[in-house]
Amino acid sequence: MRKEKLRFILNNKMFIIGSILFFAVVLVVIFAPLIAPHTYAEQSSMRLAAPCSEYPFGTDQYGRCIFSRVIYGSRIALSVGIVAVIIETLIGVTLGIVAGYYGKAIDKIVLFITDTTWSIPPIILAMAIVLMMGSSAQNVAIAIAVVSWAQFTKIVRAKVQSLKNLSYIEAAKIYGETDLSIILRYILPNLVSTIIILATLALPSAILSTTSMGFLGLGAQQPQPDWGMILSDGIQFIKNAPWITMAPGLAIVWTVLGFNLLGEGVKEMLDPRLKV
Amino acid sequence: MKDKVIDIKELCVDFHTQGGIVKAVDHVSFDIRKGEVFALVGESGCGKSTTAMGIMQLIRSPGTISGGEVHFEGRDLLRLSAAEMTKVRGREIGMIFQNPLDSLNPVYTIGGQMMEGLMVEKMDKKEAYQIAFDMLRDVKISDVESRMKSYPHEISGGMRQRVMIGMMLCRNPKLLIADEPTTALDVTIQAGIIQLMNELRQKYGSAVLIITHDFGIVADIADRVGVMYAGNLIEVGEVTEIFDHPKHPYTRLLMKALPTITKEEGRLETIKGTVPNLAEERQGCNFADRCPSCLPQCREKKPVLLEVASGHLCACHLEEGGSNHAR
Amino acid sequence: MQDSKASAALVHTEHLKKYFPLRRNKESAFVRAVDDVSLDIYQGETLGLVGESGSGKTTLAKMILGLLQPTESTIYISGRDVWDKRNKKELRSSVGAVFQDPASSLNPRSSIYRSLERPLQVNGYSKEDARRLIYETAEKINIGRELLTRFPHELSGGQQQRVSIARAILLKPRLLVLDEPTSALDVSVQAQTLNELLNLQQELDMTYLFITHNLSVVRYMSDRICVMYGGKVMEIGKNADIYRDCVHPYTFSLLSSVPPLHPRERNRKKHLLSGDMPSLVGEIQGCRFASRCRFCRDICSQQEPEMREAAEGHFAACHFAGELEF
Repeated sequence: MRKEKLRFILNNKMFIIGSILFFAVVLVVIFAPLIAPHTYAEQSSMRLAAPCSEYPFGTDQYGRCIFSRVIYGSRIALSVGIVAVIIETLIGVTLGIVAGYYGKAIDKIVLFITDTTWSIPPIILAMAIVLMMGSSAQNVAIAIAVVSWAQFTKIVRAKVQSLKNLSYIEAAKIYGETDLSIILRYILPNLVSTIIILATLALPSAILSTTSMGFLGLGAQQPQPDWGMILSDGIQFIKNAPWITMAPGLAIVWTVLGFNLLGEGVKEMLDPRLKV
Repeated sequence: MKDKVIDIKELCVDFHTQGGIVKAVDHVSFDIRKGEVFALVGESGCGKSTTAMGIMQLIRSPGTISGGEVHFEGRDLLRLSAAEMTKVRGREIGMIFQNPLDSLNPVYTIGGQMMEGLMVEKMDKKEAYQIAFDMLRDVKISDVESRMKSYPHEISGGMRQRVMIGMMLCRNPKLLIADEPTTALDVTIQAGIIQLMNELRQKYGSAVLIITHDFGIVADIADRVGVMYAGNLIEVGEVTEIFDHPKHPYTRLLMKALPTITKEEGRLETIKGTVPNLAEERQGCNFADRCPSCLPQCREKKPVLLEVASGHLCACHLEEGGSNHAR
Repeated sequence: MQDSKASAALVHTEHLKKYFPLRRNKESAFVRAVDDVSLDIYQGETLGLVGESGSGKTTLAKMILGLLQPTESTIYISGRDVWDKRNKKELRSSVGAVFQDPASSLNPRSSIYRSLERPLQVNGYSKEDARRLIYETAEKINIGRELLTRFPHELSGGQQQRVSIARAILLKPRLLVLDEPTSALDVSVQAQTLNELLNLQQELDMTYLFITHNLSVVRYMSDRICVMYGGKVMEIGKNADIYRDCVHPYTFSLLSSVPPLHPRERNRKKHLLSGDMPSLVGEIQGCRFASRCRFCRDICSQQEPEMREAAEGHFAACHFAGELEF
């Protein structure tokens, strides 16, 4: 089995590229203080400076190093994204299992809630939530989770519906396993690969949502270096100082592309038949 | 020799697996005569379906046809190009499978699919419709007109299999290969399909190769039988001869394992052990380890098919004494 | 007659029904999967349950196993209501089940030993008791000890099915429900499994409900046979009553569909069914078999036939039971 997986990884170029991009981001997150030449809030007298050896991507209107801000910004993007994915996994998987396993009225209620959530434009709903709770990184994570758990529920529910009719689960019911025990012992372990795939694929879109919220000014507040915020700040200077928008833009593309490729690779490795 | 429709000689199919080369079909030879129903019978993994797929050149990787000849209509099918073989399939040799839903296109109507096959041969639409219509009536589909407009999922499993049979017979194939055609169906439906096949063989005269694990179906429809075990054809003969005088120990045991009695009358015969691993290089007979009357030479030399009675061939060392060589 | 035997009946049902709702909020739209089935299974016997797919045999079995709640009436095992929560704990060790598909009968993520240990653990056995019992049972049904550490995918279909049987009998049930236990197996493995089941029954004094569509297998295994069609019992009686002296036209057709044992019997007397099983949705008038019955008369499509006794212990739901010449 391990050999097969290793061979799969080596044969899958996209997966390798994805992993390289992904690990680069992880390294940046861990060693941000070592990589960044300045701190993210440090101001200098050089405002809107062009890229130079001191400031690889120039400075913004307050004289802060763009490169350093983007490097530190990876911490916000990633942590908000991961927290959002963890919350949405918890909500989505729990509801999916409950709906799929118990069926009947519970299923109908859960299905109704999922469909309703799905029918509201996510970014508008997320904006509304953040506006209500106040702009901060935590609230963005919660808002993203609230708008995007539905896909977990749908897929997990369908999987549980097919699992629960397997003979070994019926046999377990006959010899007296409780429902909770069946869910934890027999159903959840069979969902692990599905959940991992869904979560890795949900991460890039969560990061994208985080930066979108930042762009709208709803994420972390100044002087925190949110990629979306840096981007929106830079827009007004795009003619004179395009590097301000370039740097966070590149960072977003890099991260999202890396995570997407990695997610696709994980999906193919764990379950080639699963279509998300 | 009566005229043969198809003559398979020393067909070999190998599967290249991590555990080694599996000889799924190992030097299998038999022929099917005009208008005859030949049943290939055996347990799962014996190579009966692989033999059929080999004849049709539908073996997929990691399998390869590693030897043999398949003479059909004066040529060797194994030497045909892929394009030529495509013409043979469906037109000259029809094939039906266990699950007809996999073979029918879900987005076309029954009538549309049947007519399409006919119109490939430059037949006009009206004529194709008439042939398809008559064919569906022949396979005992009621209310043909509205059924022509039905989609495959709208009709029952038994009806789908009838449609498949009709679709194949439409083009008057010389040979029809039926791979477990009734296994997925209820007994009552199965009986109807078998009866239909019995009626149609008289009308259309196609030879039939039926692949099954069920001796009941063999008894019901076959003219001749080939019994396969672990990639080898071990016994061939007329159906009554095989049922009355099975020669190979495996055939005998298998027939006694069929539940034909009640528990008050006795116990079923069982065959000890399991099918050998075909990836391992073996000397001697593949059945030796399980055979109740195994001789010393059974573990040394592989038995070949020899004629033990008129038209009855058996590959067993027990039967070799005094019998003359066939072929 | 029923009353005197009721004491010996291990399983008892009266007018059991299971309707599946078809569409929301429409009261009339039900699939009558099991409709008014009264059945006794006696201590120590094997009752064979035969019928085509859609006849309701698996639905009936699931209700007896406590996996599906009946729409109407209930099931008594040893006089105890299966659907009374107070009896749950006591009953779960008295019923075991073996299902058709050996591959999905075992948890792919558990070793064989673990799969066998879990039912004992749930029912309060200590580790040592469980081990002793597992080894004992494994020996009884020819599962070598080396197999116990393996995982389901490393076993053959026959071996997997034997493990399922072992799991079902671990708790020493009085009733074993066998739902097509050998349909997925090869003939030689089937023979072995059937023989083992017969030996176990004798040894452990179990009662079997044997469900299958294979009429030869059911003939080999059963003391009594129950024939179902369209959610109803058509005919029930001793093995020989059904196989030699059946009185219901459906039973006769079903038996005619069984392929012959020998090519000589090809032209035996038979009557094959045409058409499909009628829809079980909505109100059904008269006999369910009427639409496919060649003896159908006016009364058949108007009035539902009662169970009539053709011989002692041999009942058929046909207006003309015993009067028809097949």
